[in-house]
Amino acid sequence: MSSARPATRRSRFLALLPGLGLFTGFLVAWLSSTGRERETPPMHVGRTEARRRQQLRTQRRSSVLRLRRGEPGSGGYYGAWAGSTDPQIVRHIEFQYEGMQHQAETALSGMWLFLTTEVVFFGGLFLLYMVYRLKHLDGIAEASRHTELWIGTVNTVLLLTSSAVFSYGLGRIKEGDNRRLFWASAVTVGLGLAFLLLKFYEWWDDLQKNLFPGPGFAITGPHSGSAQLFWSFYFIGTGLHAIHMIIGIGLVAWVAWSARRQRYLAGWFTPVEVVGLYWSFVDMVWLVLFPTIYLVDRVGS
Amino acid sequence: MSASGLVGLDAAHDNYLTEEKTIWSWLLTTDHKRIALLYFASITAFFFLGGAAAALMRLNLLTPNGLIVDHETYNRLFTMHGVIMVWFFLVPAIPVTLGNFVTPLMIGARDLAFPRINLMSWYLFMTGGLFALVGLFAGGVDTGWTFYTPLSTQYAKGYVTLVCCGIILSGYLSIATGLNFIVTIHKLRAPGMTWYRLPLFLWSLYATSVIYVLATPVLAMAMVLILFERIFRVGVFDPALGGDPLLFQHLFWFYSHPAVYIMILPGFGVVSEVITAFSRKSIFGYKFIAWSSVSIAVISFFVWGHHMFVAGTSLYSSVVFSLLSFIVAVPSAIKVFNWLGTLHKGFIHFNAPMLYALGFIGLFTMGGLTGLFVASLGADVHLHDTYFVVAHFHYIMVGAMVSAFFGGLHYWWPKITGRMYPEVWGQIAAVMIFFGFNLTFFPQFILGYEGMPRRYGSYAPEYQVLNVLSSCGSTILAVAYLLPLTYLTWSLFRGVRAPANPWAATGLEWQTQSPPRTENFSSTPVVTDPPYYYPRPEERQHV
Amino acid sequence: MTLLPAASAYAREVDWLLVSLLGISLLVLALVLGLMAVYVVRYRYDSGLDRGALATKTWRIEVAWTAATLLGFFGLFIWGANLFIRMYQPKSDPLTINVIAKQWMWKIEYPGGQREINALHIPTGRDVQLLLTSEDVIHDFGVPAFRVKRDVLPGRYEALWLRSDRPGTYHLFCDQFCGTDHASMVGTVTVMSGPDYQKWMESNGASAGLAVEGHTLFIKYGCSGCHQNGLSGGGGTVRAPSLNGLYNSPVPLSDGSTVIADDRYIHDSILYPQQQIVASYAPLMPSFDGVIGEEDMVKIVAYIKSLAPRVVQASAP
Repeated sequence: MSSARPATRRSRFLALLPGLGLFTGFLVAWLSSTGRERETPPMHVGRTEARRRQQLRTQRRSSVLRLRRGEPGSGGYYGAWAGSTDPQIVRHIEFQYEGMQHQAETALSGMWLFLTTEVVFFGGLFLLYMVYRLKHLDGIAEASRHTELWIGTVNTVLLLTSSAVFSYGLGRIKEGDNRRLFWASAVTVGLGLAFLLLKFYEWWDDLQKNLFPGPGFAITGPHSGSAQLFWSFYFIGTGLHAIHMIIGIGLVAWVAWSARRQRYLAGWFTPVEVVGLYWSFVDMVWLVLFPTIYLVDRVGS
Repeated sequence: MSASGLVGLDAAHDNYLTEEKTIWSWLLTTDHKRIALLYFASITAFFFLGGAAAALMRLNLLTPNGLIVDHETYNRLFTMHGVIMVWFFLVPAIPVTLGNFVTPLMIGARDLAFPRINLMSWYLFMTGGLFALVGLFAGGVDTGWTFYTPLSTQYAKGYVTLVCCGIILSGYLSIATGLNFIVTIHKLRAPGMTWYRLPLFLWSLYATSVIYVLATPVLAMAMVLILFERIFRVGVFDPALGGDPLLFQHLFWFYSHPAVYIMILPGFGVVSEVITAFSRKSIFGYKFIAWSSVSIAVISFFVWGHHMFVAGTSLYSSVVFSLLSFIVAVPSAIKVFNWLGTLHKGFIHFNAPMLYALGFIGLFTMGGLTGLFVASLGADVHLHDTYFVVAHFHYIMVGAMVSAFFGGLHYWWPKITGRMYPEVWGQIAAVMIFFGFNLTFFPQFILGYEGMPRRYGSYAPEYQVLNVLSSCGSTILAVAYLLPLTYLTWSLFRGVRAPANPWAATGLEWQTQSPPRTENFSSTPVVTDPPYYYPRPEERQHV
Repeated sequence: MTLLPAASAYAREVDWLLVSLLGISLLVLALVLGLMAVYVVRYRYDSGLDRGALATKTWRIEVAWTAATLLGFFGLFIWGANLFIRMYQPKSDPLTINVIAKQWMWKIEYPGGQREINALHIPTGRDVQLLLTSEDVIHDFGVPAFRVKRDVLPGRYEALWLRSDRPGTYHLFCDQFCGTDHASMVGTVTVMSGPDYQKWMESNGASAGLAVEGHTLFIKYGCSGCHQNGLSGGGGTVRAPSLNGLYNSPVPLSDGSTVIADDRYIHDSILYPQQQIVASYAPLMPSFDGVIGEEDMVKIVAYIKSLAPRVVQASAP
């Protein structure tokens, strides 16, 4: 039975990594969404042509900027394509909708509402945790010190990075770049799978240490009962989260596959956005699970 | 309401039923109307299954020692009755059948926002139902539909795991349907259809959907926790480990109380529609009724503790829950008064839907008033877990809700099937249901006061007379329920063909043919009139 | 079918509440059904009546009946809450009887050591406190004649107060579904007048009293090995807290809080000793969960309750 580990410099450093990852991710996403292109060495073009290209570049960037800021007149996110009669976009509009903007807004509202239900779902579990922690602080605290902090931290970094990468991909598809979306989604899937592998390893390790509640539970003594309550919460919480991760990986893989087939357009990428919302939600759940399981009560008496 | 869509075709031309007739076109349909019919078939089957369990229960209770089954079987019967009726009949009933069919028509849309999710929800429902039925028939569950721990997790024999899985799956039906309705009502309204021109049925469905979306996930978590305890034999609610069995009750009732409002709110909506149509008069107090639905949905989340007054919760919390339970009754009272106000100075017709609606008002008033008895702390301690509570909730769920369901079914039957039901038989069935129901359940109020506990397969001899009365009533009720099954099926083949608007009612759904074509309207209707616009004789420029 | 008897003053108060609720309900129902009947006849479509103009500014009517309803409901709430709170107030000098629920029977243990199955005897004119606990699932101790009931939980003591003024025999029901033979978990509550009750107690296997039986069990289960009942009341070879004068005294715990050592504390300390450790003591006490059943527990608790603080004598010559 291992005792509580004092916070080493290494673990504190590790705890900073999620923040770094977050910052990096946002930076990358922001950079990619302003449509800044890498400067290619200019071909020799005539002046008229060069001016025309410059004009186009400025126009496109400004329209993207207008979109990003959601200025009035830009018609919201999809305003640029609101009245579009481009047949490639129109064929994605279902028969009960007036136009692409209408459909896209509806799809996103649906996903946000669904995520609300997921919040309430996990909320029930966190209520259980809160009640038991109030009742049996010592037992819960001691039990949480048996978790593997490094695994939790690495997993957090992996997941946050994957969200950042997927946001980058989303920024790219708004420019119509299916190829980069494919790579972003593929990396996201990879990071997600890495998370799961690490998680399965962690569960195997926990089982080896007899941390599954029941007869033969590793933590004995005054707080055995409430420690088992914590570990039940741990397995249920991480288990449900893993199920949501698997579903999310499937969705992102589907996005990757579709992007590979050049299916999305600058004027239609609603599935990417919807999947991105879901993936970010799975990330958010982990962001609450992680401190609850690994960080709270770790340091202290 | 004026509309620029199609008006009043008499014969059924091409419509959603004739469009394609293969079995796959039905099983893989995304047309909300066909999905509604798929649900009708499932809901009806579950209703009669749960009803059969009830019939056996009432038969058993004819004698004090249990006439036909032993305790173990009786326990499984009432669990089956509860699980099937609550989760596979009442919670879905009106929204997935009438709601699915009528909602896009009422707002002037071509379909719901997410038709494929609609279809998926039916499959989730059927899969969940299959799990639950297998569990209930293979050997049954003997925990009651409330699954209290530690009984359900540590002591119950039976197929608790299987049935709980079925309930979780069917819970996703609720979430998907609620999501669909909320987004549809927000996003797909026809031009001119402002919130205050929406039919009140949609206000009720909206409120119901909010509860679907916010309460059902908590039930899912409660069921997941039970599954974890049972599968891994680990105590999450076990006092020996420091767990709290009351925590399960809190999680369970946090869902299950709003769930009963899920069951009744659509019924309110149907009654509002029917009363206005058959009084040829605008609803009295439209905004009050609309907002009372929303306020019921909101307040219902804060009253779950009234199921636990004697459970061992603190005095203080019980007092707060009692006060809130009284408050939640007020919006319902407002509705009843408003419906009476609608009848006042109307031009009342007595078609079958109207008889059902009038029966609803009477039965709901009785059920709601007895709700005051159990909301009151001093009275509830005596009445808790007796037949009084059983009678109270059956008055609301069966008396009121099923009447509203049948009323709505008869009201929209011409629109759904293109046929008229036989009016006289409809009226006979409505009256029979009213009297059969009262005979079945009124004696149970007295039984409850006298102290007879619920979930007893055998009872003290002095309760026999009232039990016999109740069982006699249930026979009449059973026949009364079989009547619509018979004549409605008959009308499918031999009924008079229905015009687009047989009741001359307002509402966009009546502005299109009966049955509607697959895309509902040939062109998007535009709404300019206020809701329930029935011009009075003095307002009419022409007769 | 006779009307349910009222075995106590409280029961009669509840009956008044119920009758009033009934009266109000009948009034409202008469109003609703009456209006409905009148309207349905008067305003049927072919009644030919001149309806006249409809009321405008209907919101005044709406607010009026909403306010009236709220007011009425608030009054009913206060009445019910008042009854409820009074029912749960502890009374002084009660007769405490232990009730242990088990699938599917009620085990009653009296302070004098008498034991009964599925039957409870109480005297008139005396406050009786029932201490309810369960050995397995959640049950409910319900006595309709008293208009009271309370859920009986495993691992916890719940209190139910009775005070009767009418001798008689009344039904006892289990009012929370508890498994297969839930419907058989019934019994009787018999109320007897004072002298009759005395006679019954004496003639019904009054043993030396729960506390004396508890002492025997205290030694049998090895409690005395650590909590020896010596002069100082402390432990033997192991340092264990003194039990003298423990009952109803404050106990400082290792987490800094203080609890009062009531029945529940003593009960939980024996079954789940690790949950609350007395300050400055090591958590060495083994759990007796599964070893000491609830019936024996009642006796041991009775014995511990009887241990008065000993005054340490100055050494006598």
